[in-house]
Amino acid sequence: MPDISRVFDHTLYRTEALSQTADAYSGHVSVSLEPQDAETQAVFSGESDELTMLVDAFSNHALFLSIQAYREGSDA
Amino acid sequence: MSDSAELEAPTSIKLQYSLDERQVSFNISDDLFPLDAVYGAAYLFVDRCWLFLSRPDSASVGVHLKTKDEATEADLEALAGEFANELLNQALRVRVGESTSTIREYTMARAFFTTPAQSSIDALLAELDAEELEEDELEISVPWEESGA
Repeated sequence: MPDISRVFDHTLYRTEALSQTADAYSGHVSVSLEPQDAETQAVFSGESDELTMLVDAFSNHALFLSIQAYREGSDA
Repeated sequence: MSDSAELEAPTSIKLQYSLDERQVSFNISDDLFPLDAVYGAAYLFVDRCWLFLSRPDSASVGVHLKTKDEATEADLEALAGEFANELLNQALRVRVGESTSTIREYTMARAFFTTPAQSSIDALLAELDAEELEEDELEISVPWEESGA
Protein backbone atom coordinates (compact mmCIF):
# COMPACT_ATOMS: atom_id res chain seq x y z
CA MET A 1 0.00 0.00 0.00
CA PRO A 2 1.43 3.45 -0.92
CA ASP A 3 2.27 5.97 1.78
CA ILE A 4 -0.45 8.32 2.90
CA SER A 5 0.32 11.97 3.58
CA ARG A 6 -1.84 14.33 5.60
CA VAL A 7 -1.33 17.97 6.58
CA PHE A 8 -2.36 19.05 10.07
CA ASP A 9 -2.79 22.80 10.50
CA HIS A 10 -1.46 24.13 13.80
CA THR A 11 -4.47 26.38 14.35
CA LEU A 12 -6.55 23.19 14.55
CA TYR A 13 -4.11 20.51 15.72
CA ARG A 14 -1.56 21.15 18.46
CA THR A 15 1.96 19.93 17.83
CA GLU A 16 2.06 18.24 21.26
CA ALA A 17 -1.17 16.41 20.43
CA LEU A 18 0.34 15.17 17.16
CA SER A 19 3.53 13.94 18.81
CA GLN A 20 1.58 12.26 21.63
CA THR A 21 -0.65 10.55 19.07
CA ALA A 22 2.40 9.42 17.08
CA ASP A 23 3.78 7.84 20.26
CA ALA A 24 0.45 6.16 20.99
CA TYR A 25 0.23 4.73 17.46
CA SER A 26 3.89 3.78 17.13
CA GLY A 27 3.06 0.09 17.57
CA HIS A 28 0.42 0.15 14.83
CA VAL A 29 1.64 2.41 12.06
CA SER A 30 4.88 4.03 10.99
CA VAL A 31 4.42 7.79 10.99
CA SER A 32 6.90 10.51 10.20
CA LEU A 33 6.02 14.01 11.42
CA GLU A 34 7.58 17.02 9.70
CA PRO A 35 6.63 20.11 11.71
CA GLN A 36 6.79 23.47 9.97
CA ASP A 37 5.72 26.93 11.11
CA ALA A 38 2.01 26.71 10.43
CA GLU A 39 1.43 23.01 9.86
CA THR A 40 2.79 19.54 10.33
CA GLN A 41 2.99 17.12 7.48
CA ALA A 42 2.53 13.53 8.54
CA VAL A 43 3.53 10.66 6.29
CA PHE A 44 2.09 7.28 7.16
CA SER A 45 3.55 4.07 5.83
CA GLY A 46 2.96 0.43 6.40
CA GLU A 47 1.95 -2.77 4.71
CA SER A 48 -1.25 -3.15 6.64
CA ASP A 49 -4.50 -3.23 4.69
CA GLU A 50 -5.89 -1.11 7.44
CA LEU A 51 -3.49 1.79 6.84
CA THR A 52 -6.28 4.14 5.74
CA MET A 53 -8.32 3.31 8.82
CA LEU A 54 -5.25 3.82 11.03
CA VAL A 55 -4.66 7.25 9.47
CA ASP A 56 -8.28 8.18 10.17
CA ALA A 57 -8.02 6.91 13.74
CA PHE A 58 -4.75 8.84 14.16
CA SER A 59 -6.50 12.03 13.00
CA ASN A 60 -9.41 11.50 15.38
CA HIS A 61 -7.06 10.90 18.30
CA ALA A 62 -4.96 13.99 17.50
CA LEU A 63 -8.10 16.10 17.21
CA PHE A 64 -9.43 14.77 20.51
CA LEU A 65 -6.17 15.63 22.31
CA SER A 66 -6.11 19.08 20.66
CA ILE A 67 -9.65 19.80 21.86
CA GLN A 68 -8.74 18.64 25.37
CA ALA A 69 -5.66 20.88 25.44
CA TYR A 70 -7.66 23.82 24.07
CA ARG A 71 -10.30 23.44 26.77
CA GLU A 72 -7.74 23.06 29.55
CA GLY A 73 -6.01 26.18 28.25
CA SER A 74 -9.29 28.07 28.06
CA ASP A 75 -10.28 27.07 31.57
CA ALA A 76 -6.93 28.07 33.05
CA MET B 1 -38.04 49.17 -2.32
CA SER B 2 -38.94 45.52 -2.69
CA ASP B 3 -38.22 42.84 -0.14
CA SER B 4 -36.06 40.95 -2.56
CA ALA B 5 -33.76 43.93 -2.87
CA GLU B 6 -33.43 44.26 0.90
CA LEU B 7 -32.86 40.62 1.70
CA GLU B 8 -29.79 38.93 0.44
CA ALA B 9 -30.46 35.35 -0.49
CA PRO B 10 -28.39 32.92 1.58
CA THR B 11 -25.79 31.01 -0.33
CA SER B 12 -26.21 27.27 -0.24
CA ILE B 13 -23.60 25.15 1.47
CA LYS B 14 -21.56 23.21 -1.00
CA LEU B 15 -21.24 19.64 0.11
CA GLN B 16 -18.62 17.53 -1.58
CA TYR B 17 -19.32 13.81 -1.58
CA SER B 18 -16.94 10.99 -2.10
CA LEU B 19 -18.95 7.80 -1.92
CA ASP B 20 -15.88 5.63 -2.55
CA GLU B 21 -14.27 7.04 0.56
CA ARG B 22 -17.61 7.31 2.43
CA GLN B 23 -16.73 10.96 2.99
CA VAL B 24 -18.57 14.27 2.90
CA SER B 25 -16.70 17.58 3.09
CA PHE B 26 -17.72 21.20 3.43
CA ASN B 27 -16.18 24.51 4.45
CA ILE B 28 -17.34 26.73 7.29
CA SER B 29 -16.46 30.36 7.90
CA ASP B 30 -14.48 31.46 10.95
CA ASP B 31 -16.58 34.62 11.10
CA LEU B 32 -19.77 32.63 11.66
CA PHE B 33 -18.44 29.78 13.75
CA PRO B 34 -15.61 30.37 16.25
CA LEU B 35 -13.07 27.62 16.88
CA ASP B 36 -14.72 26.90 20.22
CA ALA B 37 -17.94 25.98 18.41
CA VAL B 38 -16.14 23.89 15.78
CA TYR B 39 -14.29 22.00 18.52
CA GLY B 40 -17.52 21.58 20.49
CA ALA B 41 -19.28 19.95 17.56
CA ALA B 42 -16.23 17.89 16.61
CA TYR B 43 -15.93 16.58 20.16
CA LEU B 44 -19.46 15.16 19.96
CA PHE B 45 -18.81 13.49 16.60
CA VAL B 46 -15.35 12.12 17.23
CA ASP B 47 -16.68 8.74 18.40
CA ARG B 48 -19.31 8.48 15.65
CA CYS B 49 -17.23 8.97 12.54
CA TRP B 50 -13.76 9.78 11.27
CA LEU B 51 -13.16 13.51 11.43
CA PHE B 52 -10.49 15.59 9.82
CA LEU B 53 -10.23 19.39 9.91
CA SER B 54 -8.27 21.39 7.37
CA ARG B 55 -7.57 25.02 6.48
CA PRO B 56 -8.56 25.64 2.87
CA ASP B 57 -7.85 29.32 3.54
CA SER B 58 -7.09 31.52 6.54
CA ALA B 59 -10.76 32.43 7.13
CA SER B 60 -12.43 29.04 6.94
CA VAL B 61 -12.21 25.51 8.24
CA GLY B 62 -12.70 22.46 6.08
CA VAL B 63 -14.69 19.71 7.77
CA HIS B 64 -14.26 16.18 6.44
CA LEU B 65 -16.63 13.58 7.86
CA LYS B 66 -16.15 9.94 6.99
CA THR B 67 -18.44 7.17 8.11
CA LYS B 68 -16.99 4.07 9.73
CA ASP B 69 -19.31 1.79 7.73
CA GLU B 70 -20.75 1.80 4.23
CA ALA B 71 -22.94 4.82 3.53
CA THR B 72 -25.17 6.21 0.82
CA GLU B 73 -25.25 9.82 -0.31
CA ALA B 74 -28.37 10.33 1.84
CA ASP B 75 -26.50 9.00 4.88
CA LEU B 76 -23.62 11.38 4.24
CA GLU B 77 -25.98 14.30 3.74
CA ALA B 78 -27.74 13.46 7.02
CA LEU B 79 -24.39 13.25 8.80
CA ALA B 80 -23.33 16.65 7.43
CA GLY B 81 -26.72 18.09 8.43
CA GLU B 82 -26.41 16.77 11.97
CA PHE B 83 -22.94 18.23 12.25
CA ALA B 84 -24.17 21.60 10.94
CA ASN B 85 -27.02 21.59 13.48
CA GLU B 86 -24.63 20.82 16.30
CA LEU B 87 -22.34 23.56 15.03
CA LEU B 88 -25.20 26.06 15.36
CA ASN B 89 -25.99 24.76 18.82
CA GLN B 90 -22.37 25.14 19.92
CA ALA B 91 -22.07 28.61 18.37
CA LEU B 92 -25.13 29.69 20.33
CA ARG B 93 -23.63 28.24 23.52
CA VAL B 94 -20.46 30.25 22.94
CA ARG B 95 -22.38 33.48 22.27
CA VAL B 96 -24.61 33.03 25.35
CA GLY B 97 -21.53 32.25 27.43
CA GLU B 98 -19.85 35.42 26.25
CA SER B 99 -22.89 37.64 26.74
CA THR B 100 -23.57 36.37 30.28
CA SER B 101 -19.95 36.23 31.44
CA THR B 102 -20.20 39.52 33.37
CA ILE B 103 -23.26 38.49 35.36
CA ARG B 104 -21.74 35.06 36.06
CA GLU B 105 -18.56 36.68 37.37
CA TYR B 106 -20.65 39.07 39.49
CA THR B 107 -22.68 36.19 40.96
CA MET B 108 -19.56 34.19 41.75
CA ALA B 109 -17.85 37.19 43.31
CA ARG B 110 -20.92 37.89 45.45
CA ALA B 111 -21.08 34.26 46.55
CA PHE B 112 -17.42 34.24 47.56
CA PHE B 113 -16.96 37.66 49.09
CA THR B 114 -20.14 38.05 51.13
CA THR B 115 -20.95 35.86 54.15
CA PRO B 116 -24.70 35.82 54.67
CA ALA B 117 -24.80 32.04 55.05
CA GLN B 118 -22.07 32.01 57.68
CA SER B 119 -23.64 34.81 59.70
CA SER B 120 -27.00 33.01 59.77
CA ILE B 121 -25.31 29.85 61.04
CA ASP B 122 -23.55 31.92 63.71
CA ALA B 123 -26.86 33.44 64.72
CA LEU B 124 -28.45 29.99 65.09
CA LEU B 125 -25.52 28.73 67.19
CA ALA B 126 -25.76 31.79 69.42
CA GLU B 127 -29.48 31.20 69.85
CA LEU B 128 -28.85 27.59 70.85
CA ASP B 129 -26.19 28.66 73.33
CA ALA B 130 -28.56 31.19 74.84
CA GLU B 131 -31.27 28.54 75.26
CA GLU B 132 -28.87 26.19 77.01
CA LEU B 133 -27.89 28.90 79.46
CA GLU B 134 -31.47 29.67 80.47
CA GLU B 135 -32.83 28.56 83.84
CA ASP B 136 -34.26 25.06 83.86
CA GLU B 137 -36.97 25.33 86.48
CA LEU B 138 -38.36 21.85 85.90
CA GLU B 139 -34.84 20.39 85.93
CA ILE B 140 -35.58 18.56 82.74
CA SER B 141 -32.00 18.87 81.66
CA VAL B 142 -30.61 17.38 84.92
CA PRO B 143 -29.31 13.87 84.29
CA TRP B 144 -31.39 11.15 85.99
CA GLU B 145 -28.37 9.84 87.88
CA GLU B 146 -28.00 13.18 89.65
CA SER B 147 -31.73 13.78 90.22
CA GLY B 148 -32.20 10.25 91.64
CA ALA B 149 -29.24 10.49 93.96
